[in-house]
Amino acid sequence: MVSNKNTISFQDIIFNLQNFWNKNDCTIIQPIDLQVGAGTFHPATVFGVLGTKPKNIAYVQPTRRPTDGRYGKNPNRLQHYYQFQVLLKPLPKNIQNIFLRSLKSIGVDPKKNNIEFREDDWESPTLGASGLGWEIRCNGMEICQYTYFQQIGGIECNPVSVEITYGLERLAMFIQKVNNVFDILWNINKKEKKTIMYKDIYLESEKQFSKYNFELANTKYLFKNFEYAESECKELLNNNLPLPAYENCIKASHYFNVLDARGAIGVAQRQSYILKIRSLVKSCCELYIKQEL
Amino acid sequence: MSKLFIELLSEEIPYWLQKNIVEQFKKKIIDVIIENKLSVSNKININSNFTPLRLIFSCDNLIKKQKSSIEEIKGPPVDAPENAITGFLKKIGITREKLKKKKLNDRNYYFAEHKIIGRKSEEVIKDNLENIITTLNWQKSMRWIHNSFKWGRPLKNVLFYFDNKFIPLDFLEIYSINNNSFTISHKKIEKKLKFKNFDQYKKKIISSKVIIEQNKREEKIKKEINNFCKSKKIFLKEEHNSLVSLNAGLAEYPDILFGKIEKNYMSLPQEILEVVMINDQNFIPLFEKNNNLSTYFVIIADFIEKKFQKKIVEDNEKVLQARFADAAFYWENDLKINLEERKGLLFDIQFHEKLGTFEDKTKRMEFFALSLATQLNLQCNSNDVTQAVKLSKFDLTTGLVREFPQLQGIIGGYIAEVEKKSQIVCLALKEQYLPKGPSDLCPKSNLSILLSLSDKLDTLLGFFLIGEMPTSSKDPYALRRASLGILRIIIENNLKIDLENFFNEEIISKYNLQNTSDFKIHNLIIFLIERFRFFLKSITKRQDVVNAFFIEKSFSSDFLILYKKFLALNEFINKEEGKKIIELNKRALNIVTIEGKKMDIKNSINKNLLKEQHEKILVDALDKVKNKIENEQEDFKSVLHTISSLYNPLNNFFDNVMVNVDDVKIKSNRLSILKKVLDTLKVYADFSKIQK
Repeated sequence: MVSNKNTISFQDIIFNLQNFWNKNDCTIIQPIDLQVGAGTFHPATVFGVLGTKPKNIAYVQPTRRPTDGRYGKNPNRLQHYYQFQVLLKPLPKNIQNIFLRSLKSIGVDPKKNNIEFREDDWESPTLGASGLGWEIRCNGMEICQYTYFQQIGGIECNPVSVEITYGLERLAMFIQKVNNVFDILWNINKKEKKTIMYKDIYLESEKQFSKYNFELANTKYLFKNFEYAESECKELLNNNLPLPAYENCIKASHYFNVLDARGAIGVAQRQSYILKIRSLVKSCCELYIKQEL
Repeated sequence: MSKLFIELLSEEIPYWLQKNIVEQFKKKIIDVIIENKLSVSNKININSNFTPLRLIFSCDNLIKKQKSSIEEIKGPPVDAPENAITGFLKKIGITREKLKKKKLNDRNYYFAEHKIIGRKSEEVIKDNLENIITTLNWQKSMRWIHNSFKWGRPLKNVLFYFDNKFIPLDFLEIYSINNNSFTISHKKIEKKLKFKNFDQYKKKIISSKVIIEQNKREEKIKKEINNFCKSKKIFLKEEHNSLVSLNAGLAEYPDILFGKIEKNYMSLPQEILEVVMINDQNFIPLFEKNNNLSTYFVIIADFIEKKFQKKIVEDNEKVLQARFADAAFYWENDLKINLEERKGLLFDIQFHEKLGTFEDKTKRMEFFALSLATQLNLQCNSNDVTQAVKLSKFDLTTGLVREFPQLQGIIGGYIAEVEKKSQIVCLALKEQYLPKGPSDLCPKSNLSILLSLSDKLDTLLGFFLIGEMPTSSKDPYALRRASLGILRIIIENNLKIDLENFFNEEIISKYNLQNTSDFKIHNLIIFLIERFRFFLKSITKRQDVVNAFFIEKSFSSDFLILYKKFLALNEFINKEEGKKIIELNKRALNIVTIEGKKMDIKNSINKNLLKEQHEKILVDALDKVKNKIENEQEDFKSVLHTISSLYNPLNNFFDNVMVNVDDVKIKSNRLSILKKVLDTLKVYADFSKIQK
C-alpha cells in the first residue's frame, strides 16, 4: 500500500516542518523531557507566551494521554503520540497564509483539498489557559489546532501569541493515505531498501503502557506522588524558583492523568484536582512574570 | 444620489456571531445617517451581506453633502455683568457687533447666530467609522496585534467607498488593520480584485467564487441537494434547514458533494449516526420516505475544482467511518453492562454539589412523578413510572453518552429495548429530555410526560431552592430551556396544574436542604411567567398583545388556563368586534386621561345621579360584563363575546350622553362610568396596549 518513492515519511514530515519554520524565523528547540499531555505544556510555550519578549519557536513534543490508550488495537487512538508545536510572538501580519504554506510544504495542498477553519476555542483548565481560534480540518479530518493565546495561568497575554499545533500522526495518515496509525511509514532506508513502520517502533509500547495505565498503575503511589509534586512545587515557589516549580506541576498533571485512566478519580474529586494544578501553575506564572520585570 | 460601500475583511468568523454583528453594524450606520441627516428620504435602506470572511454594507440613497444651516445660540441677558457677555463672545468666537437682541419672557437677551456649514457625507461617515468598528458588542471576541482592540477574529482590511471613490481611513493603522482599496478573491484563487464601486465589486467577486449573500449560498445548497434527492427518492428534513444555514455560513462558495455511509454501520441506532454526522462533521443527513436514515449524506466544501472532488468525498467518508467505528465500539461495550447494573456506576456521579447525586435526583423524581400522575389524572401503571424513573439516568455512565452527551436518554432507551423492557418505558427514556429546543416535539404518552415533567420540575425547583437562578447573561443549568419545556408540555397536553400549589412544603422537603429560607416561590413563578411571555411572543409574534395581556396584577400559575385566555384574546382582537372594542376603549381612555388631570375621578358610580337612559343601560351592562369576566374560568370566547356586547351601550353613551356638562357632580359621575369601563376591560387585558 505504501512506500513508493514519493511517499513522504513520518520523519520527512517533521524535517519539512522544521525546515519550513526555520525559514520563517523560528528557532527549532527540543521537547521537554517530561511526560506532558500536550505540546503547550512545554515551559518554552507556557512562559514564552507571558511577558513582552518576542518568541519564535518550533518543536516536536511527544505527548501522553493515558486514557486514549487502546492496547494498540484501535486504528486511530494512542496513549503516546507526537505534536509539532509552533509559537509566534508577536504575530506576523499574514500568519494565516504562512500557515497554509506550511501545509503545502508537507504535501497538503490547500487548493486540492478542503481546508476548513472550524471554530474551536481552545482551553486548558489545568494551565488556566484559553484562546480563540480554530481546529483545522482537511477533508473532514482534524489535523491542526490554531489558537490566538489570550490568557495563561490566569494572566492576560499581551502581546498575543499564536500557537499552531500539528497532529503529526493524523497528518501522516492523511498524507500517506493509510487507515491505521500503525501503518504509517516512519522512514525508508534507501541504501538497504528497508522500511521502518510506526508499529515497529510503537506497537509494543502501546500494548504495555495501556496495560500499565488502565490496569496496573499503583493508585496509592500515584496519589502520594501527586502530593509530593504539589508540596515540592510550593516549596520551590517559596524559594523563588518558578522553572523547577513548574516542572512539578507537569509531574502532578501526569499523575492525575494516569489516575484518571485508572478510574481512580470520582467526578466530584476531578474538579478539585484540576483546580489544585491550576492554582500552582498560576503561582508559577505570576512568579515568572515578577522576575522577568 | 450618493452611494456608500463598506467591506470588512477578516479571518474566519464563526457562523453564530456573523448575523448578530452584521445587524449591529447596520444599526450603527443607520444611526449615523439619521443623526447627521445624510439620507435623501426617510427610508434608509442599508443593504448588508456577509460571508465567513466579510461583512459588506451598501446604501445608495444618501446625499452628497449636508445642508448648511443657521443655529441661534442664546446668550446672557442684555443687562448681565460685562464679564458674562465677554465670556459668551469668547466661547462662540464672534465680535459684539454681530450679536442680536431678542425678547424672551419679558427680558432682553443676546443671541448669536452660528452658521453650521454642511459637511460632506463621506467625511461624516469616515469620522464615525472608527467608533462603529471599535464599539461592536461581540458575544465572544479576541485581541491579536493591538493590545486592547477586540474583534470576533482578526480583522484584516477595511475598505470604504463613497461615490465610486476609495476613501482612506487613517485610524486603521493604529489597530494594525490594512486599508487597501482592493479586496481579495476566494482563498483558493488568490487574486486581488480592483473595482470602482459596489456594482463592479459584486460582478468581480462572484466571478472569483465568492457568493456574498447568505441566502443565495443556502439556495445553492438546497437546490443541488434537491436535485440529487429526486433521482434517489430521498429527502432533506425540514429540521435540518439550520444545518444548511450553518454550512452556508462556513463557506464563501459552497460546493455540494455527496458521500455514502458504509453498510455495516447502518445497523447502529439511527440517532447515533445522525449525531456523529451532524455534530462532528456538519454533514447533512438525508432520509428515506419512511423517515429512516438513507445511506447518503451531504458534504459542503468551500470551492473545490471538479477534478479534486472525488478524493475529497472519499477522505470525508473515511473520517466518518472512523468515527462510526468509535461509536460502534462504545455501543458494543455499553451493551455488556445491563442497565440495572449501572446503578453502582452512577451512585457517585454528582448532579450538583448541593442537590446531591443522580440517585438522589431520581428518588425525588419518583415522588414528583407519582404525585403528578395523581394530580393530573394521567393513567399509568405505577410500576412503570417507578421503573422508568429509576432507569432514566443510568445511561449517563455509558461510553456513548460520555462521548456524545446529546444522546442522553436516547441511549438508555435503546439499551432498554435490547433488554426487552416494556415499550412505553423505552419510549419514555428516549423522550425524557424533550422538548430540547423550540422545534422539538413534546412527549405525548402519559409515562413520557411524567418522566420529562418530573425531571425538569426537579431541576428547576432545585436550583431555585439553592439560589442558583439564571441571570440576564448566564444560565449555566439551562433553566430557561427547562421552563419552556415544562410550559409546552403542560399546554400541548392539556394538563391542568397550578404550579404554585405543586411546589409545596412536602415537595421541597424532598431535597433535604438545611436552609431554604431565602427561597421565595413567588420568584420562581415570576420566572415561569417571564418564560411564558417569551413563548407566547414567539408563537404569535405579537409583543403588544402579550403586553396587553400581562398587566400588573397577580397571576395564577395555571398556565393552561392562561394560555387559553391569551389565545382567545389574540383571536378576538383580530376580529371586527375586537377592533371595535379597542377603538371604544381608546376613546374612553382619552377622555378619562384628559379630564383626570383636571379633577379626581371617583371609582364608584352614584346610581342616583344617572339621568339619561343610555348611561343607565351602560352601567347595567357593565355589571354583567364584570361579573362574567371575573367568574368564567373556562370559556374565554364567551367572556370576550360578553365584552363585545358592551359595544352598543358604550357607543350609544358616546353618541347621546354629554360628559362635559356644567353640573360638576354629574360630569364627575359620568367620568366614573367611563373609568369603570376601562377598569372592567382591564380585568381581561389592557386593550390600549394593542396596536393595529
